[in-house]
Amino acid sequence: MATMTDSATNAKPAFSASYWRGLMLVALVLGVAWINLTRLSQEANAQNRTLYAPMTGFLAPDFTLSTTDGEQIRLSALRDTPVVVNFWATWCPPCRAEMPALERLWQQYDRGSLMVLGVDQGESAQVVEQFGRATVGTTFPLLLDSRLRVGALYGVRALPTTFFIDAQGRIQDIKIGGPLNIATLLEGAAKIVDD
Amino acid sequence: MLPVLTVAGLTIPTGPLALLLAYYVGTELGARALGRLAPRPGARQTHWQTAFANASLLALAAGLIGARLGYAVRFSSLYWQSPLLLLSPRPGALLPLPGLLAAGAAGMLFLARKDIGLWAIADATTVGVAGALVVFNLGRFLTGAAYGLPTELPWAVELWGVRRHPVQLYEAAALIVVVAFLWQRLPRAQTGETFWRFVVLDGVSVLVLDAFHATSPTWILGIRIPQVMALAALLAGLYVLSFYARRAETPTATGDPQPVSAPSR
Repeated sequence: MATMTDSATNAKPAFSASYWRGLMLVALVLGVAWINLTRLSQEANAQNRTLYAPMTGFLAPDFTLSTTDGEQIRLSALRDTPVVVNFWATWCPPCRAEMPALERLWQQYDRGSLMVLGVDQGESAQVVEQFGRATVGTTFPLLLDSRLRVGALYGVRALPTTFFIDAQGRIQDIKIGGPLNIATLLEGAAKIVDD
Repeated sequence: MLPVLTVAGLTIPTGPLALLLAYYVGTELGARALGRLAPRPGARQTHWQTAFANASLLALAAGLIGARLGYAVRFSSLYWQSPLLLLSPRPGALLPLPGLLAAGAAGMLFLARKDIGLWAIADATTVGVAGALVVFNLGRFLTGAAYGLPTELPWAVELWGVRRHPVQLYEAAALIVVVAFLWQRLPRAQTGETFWRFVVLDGVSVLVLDAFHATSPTWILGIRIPQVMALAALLAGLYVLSFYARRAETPTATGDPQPVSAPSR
């Protein structure tokens, strides 16, 4: 007797076909209402477009730093120009190794149609000048982040770290680690330079 | 936010690490699920599990190749200049959609050649994908990707000076529940039913939780595209499940319920 009862119970599915069809109607009504209720407002959308954060898709946080020549460079003043920001230090072997590739990138884009900024982390102008200009022969601007303030703003936890920022000031790619070769740099540059 | 991990002096980006972990979890869960679906335990079960693990490895390779080729087509002028870039080990130069298509096709073809039914593959892959998505969402939480709307709730997390919904954690938690449910029901499910259950449950999850995302792609009037797609998937899933219910309602000659594991597995 017990077996027959079990069998009869098992023969029925937990929910009937009409139950699922009814659930479809409920899901449709509730789903449409929920979608309408949770639409993304234009203000929220606009707010997202104007967020500054060190992440791909966001506007690059602004900074002003001095070059080794004493000139002040402000990132936001470079709007309309794609920018490659490379965080580095002379004591970091991969940073040293990728310096010639960054110089080639700078040369390839006519020393300015794509801006290359080398942001040194915490060293003196003399040390940076000696390595950058005398040893490697770089000609692109080398900036001094002596208090590591900009490094912290960009969440830099490893050197080198390279940000590719388009002409609208939006970060399009971040490459953590190195040394980057010229091909990899060109690949990043392709994302921020309009053909 | 923890975009990079520093382990023994090595700096590892969290995003790719989470993807690798997601792949491992997905493969393990999928293989075990397929083993549970094998018609007979023993050698057949082991054979199916091994086949799934091999298929996922093949899918990974095909996916990477497809994603890199897709990327190369998109930036064709650059790759014509430097063809060796195709072999660059950097994970950034990949296009997801061609990669997913190549991975799916390669994995399916491999398993189909092993005489494993299409719906059994779909059921097992569904469980694996759901598990992988749990890890994927945890990775997104650590990297700050797909962040949430501002909120003052006590469990909000601060991101760039604003307290926000940890929406990636909501999604991971929802998927854990989905995986547990699918896993528990797996042996008693009809062929393909696990797949459609996932479509329904994930549809509900996306429909509800996408509302807390700050950056969903939208249509006119701010309608969130993922929610519309999730609702469509949810309705399609419920419709198909009604047929499963009808099939189960139909008694067999012996009065027993319909077989839950079809012989075609």
